[in-house]
Amino acid sequence: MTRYIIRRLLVSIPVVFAIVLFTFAVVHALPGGPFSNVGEKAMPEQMRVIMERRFGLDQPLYIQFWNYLKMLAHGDLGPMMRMRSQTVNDIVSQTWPVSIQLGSLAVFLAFVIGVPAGIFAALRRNSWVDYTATFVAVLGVSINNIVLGPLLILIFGVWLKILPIAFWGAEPPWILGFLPKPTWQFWTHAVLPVFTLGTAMSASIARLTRASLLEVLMSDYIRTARAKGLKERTVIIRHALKNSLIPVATILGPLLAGVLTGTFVVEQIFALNGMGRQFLMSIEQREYFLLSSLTLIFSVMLVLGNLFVDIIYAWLDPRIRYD
Amino acid sequence: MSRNKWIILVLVLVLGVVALSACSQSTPEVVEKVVEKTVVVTQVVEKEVEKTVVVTEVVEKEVEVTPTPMPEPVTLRAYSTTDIPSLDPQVAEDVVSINAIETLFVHLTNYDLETAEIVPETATSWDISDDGLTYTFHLRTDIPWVKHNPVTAETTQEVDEDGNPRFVTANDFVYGIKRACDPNLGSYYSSVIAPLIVGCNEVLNAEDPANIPQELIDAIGVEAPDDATLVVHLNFPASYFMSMTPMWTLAAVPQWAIEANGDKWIEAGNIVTDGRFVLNEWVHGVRRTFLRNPLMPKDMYGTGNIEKIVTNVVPDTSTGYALWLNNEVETSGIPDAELQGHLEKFKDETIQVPDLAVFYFGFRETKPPFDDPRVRRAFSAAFDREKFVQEVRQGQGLPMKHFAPPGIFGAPPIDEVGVGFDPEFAQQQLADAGYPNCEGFPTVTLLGYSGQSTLNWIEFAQQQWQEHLGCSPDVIQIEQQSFRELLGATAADVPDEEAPHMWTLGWGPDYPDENNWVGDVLWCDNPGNRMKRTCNEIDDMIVKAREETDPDKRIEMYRQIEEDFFGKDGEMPFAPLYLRIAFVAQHSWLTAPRALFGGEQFYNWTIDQAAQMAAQGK
Repeated sequence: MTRYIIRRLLVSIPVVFAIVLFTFAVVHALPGGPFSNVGEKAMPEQMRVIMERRFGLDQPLYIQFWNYLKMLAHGDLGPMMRMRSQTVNDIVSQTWPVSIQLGSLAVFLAFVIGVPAGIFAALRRNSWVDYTATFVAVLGVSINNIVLGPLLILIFGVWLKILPIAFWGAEPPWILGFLPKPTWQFWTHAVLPVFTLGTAMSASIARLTRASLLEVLMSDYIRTARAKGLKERTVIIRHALKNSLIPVATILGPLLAGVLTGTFVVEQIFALNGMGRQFLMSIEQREYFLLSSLTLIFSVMLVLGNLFVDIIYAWLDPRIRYD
Repeated sequence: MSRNKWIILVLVLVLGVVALSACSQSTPEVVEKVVEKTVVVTQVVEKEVEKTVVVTEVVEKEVEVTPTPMPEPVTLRAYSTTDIPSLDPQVAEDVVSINAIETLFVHLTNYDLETAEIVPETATSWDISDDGLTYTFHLRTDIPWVKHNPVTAETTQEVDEDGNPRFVTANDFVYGIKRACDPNLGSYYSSVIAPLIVGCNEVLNAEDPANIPQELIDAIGVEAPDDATLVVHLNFPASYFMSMTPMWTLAAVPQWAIEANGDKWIEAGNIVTDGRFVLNEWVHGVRRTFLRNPLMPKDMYGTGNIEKIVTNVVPDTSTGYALWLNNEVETSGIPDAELQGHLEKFKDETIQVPDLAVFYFGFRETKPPFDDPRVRRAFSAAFDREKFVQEVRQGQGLPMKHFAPPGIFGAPPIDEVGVGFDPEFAQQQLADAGYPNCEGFPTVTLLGYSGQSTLNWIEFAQQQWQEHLGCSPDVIQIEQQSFRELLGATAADVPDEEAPHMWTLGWGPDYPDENNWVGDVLWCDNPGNRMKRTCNEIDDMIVKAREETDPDKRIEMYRQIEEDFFGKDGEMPFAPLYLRIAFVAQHSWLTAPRALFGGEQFYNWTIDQAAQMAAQGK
């Protein structure tokens, strides 16, 4: 397995490189640049030229990319061109932990709700449990975060006044660089954004678990297990459930990569200083270094997420061997 | 007990411990304290005399101390949609930064809140030479440079190498103004001041910005004969220079702190300031907190009572508005979807804030059919601005018939100059141009900002031109692009065949003078001449007006210029539409006179703290 992981990581390097190169090229192809305008006014040409020269944007693109790679090799993600008292490293170290905390709690919630809901729905197929779970799941998938978030704010923040409307309940310095202090304030502030983000994911997971478990329950080896006289609980837990989770595990990689690197809508609605917000800001303001670095982080996370899924596969299905 | 049960038990215990640790209330403050305990002993002595002896015994004991509650500082709780891009006065370009800089730094002069006239700040008085080329400012020298320690919450006055306390001097202004001419700062506002100050443009446009010769920097026309006197030399007698003196770009800055910390000099703990507040905290992307500067001369405190400002970053106006509904912030923008409901429920807690930005439809004067002024006049006069403001802008605006709005020196009264909406005049003009009822009118392009709101007003314009000119909507081809793309597509150097015929754009002032409108936007020699105007006698008058020293004559000249542009026989380089005004939710316990120019003067805002706390249930 170790050799497999190392091999996968080595193979991933050109993939990540290609993604970063592509992003770098696309970002620079966007019309306008970081110094083309100031708010609602055009930047004077002379100033634009000087500032572009200062950040090396007057160089040919391949030289800019080469310079960027050299910076990356030194652990430097680059400068911020408009907020110059900050660097991209500063922005990432401030915002990524918030996204990790939000994303991991939401994924945890999604699995805690989604997997049991899917199992119960499958086991009580065509009963009121199934219909209710399916209805809630469809509702969860259908209601977009952009609707659910403000709705929850209105109900629990403005009307009932029992939960905070906005903000994350923890701030730097982080424990071990990314963990929050688990204070009461942290948990109360986390409820609404985590629920908003986790609901849609849990709905998807519930539907996937249900469909997968139903399929597994109709397979030959389950019939054999039942024929052997095993208890139904044993058949479900020891034989059916593990295999039915393989499709769920498949979505885990992209899901983790997506939510752990920031979720723009939820961060925007709840005023969380996460990395998702930085994605949009970097596009709007043409912060080339920030956008390229965030894409790099996302692609690395995607590679690691998929690798993690492969490892989970091996655990879920002993037939799968990588060495 | 089976293995599973053990696992469940352990999990329950772990979860219980975590929950308890999270739920535990903060413990009371426990201190080890030495107390003197007085014991009164009554004893009988041999002489059978009753005597009272006071024995003082020192004991060590742990006691719980409940701190005496301090009165809560009067706190303004606000939000902004972005972090502060920069706290550097010579770099700042946006409203959020400029508001923060107004809070942290004093400027050379200030804007009067009601009239936008220039009033003293660091400069207590000033003289202008007869030729209008030399401005001498007399400065007060009792404003300290201070540094605030966010950890200890202490504000201390800066001292020089010899241990002498540092006060703001004319040399700090000289350094700041020369710094503003440095092209390497990349500030838009450098280009606003550079043409005026002797030598500034030469530095700003230096051939090699990385190696600007010292003699070029020394030649910038600003000097400090003594600590209390600042002299600025101008390239030409710019009558509007005084109106620029409250600008952040010309502020004094601490040279030693900038040189010590580079770009990081503006961070909390590094920043050295001279304003009414100090920076107590700046959590990037999250929050900043300002506290009153206790070392500020009392006469500069302002008329307000706010002692602390907490500004959170809330990117979404809907969330900000929810915080306002919950009494968690004093003031908030109102989301478009909530506006009508808000006005019905909270009319008394709504104010209108103009930002003096005027929006217009620009015309490419060199591109047919808009090379004919009659066509431009027709399209301008066929647009019902009043209806537009009510229906499309939901009342958030003021119809404009000319360019410069009220509050700008030289701007004519709102209804006296310009054609505005006049459908009969519009039809006549179009017919005179050879397109009666729009017959034979070629297809033209109208480029707008991307977004639904701009689309709404472009579609409204299409309806207006159909209704009042007879031009089918098919004749006006709508395109939408991002703001950056629009700026590029309408630039003066774009060939006519690639440029749109018309476009949407707005202008917000940098300083309150007509020169910043007709001079910086419409003057034919302006590098940003998007309308591709050719120079004529109006431009001669623009140059004369900016150098005229008699204010009354200047006002009259600008009135004539506006008439020549937007009157019945006017050139009509664009169709002025409306002055942007925003409805803002503001709680009744806040009295907040808004600044027309420069940053918001929070030091002149007042909060009725009792009402504020009552609303919070305290």
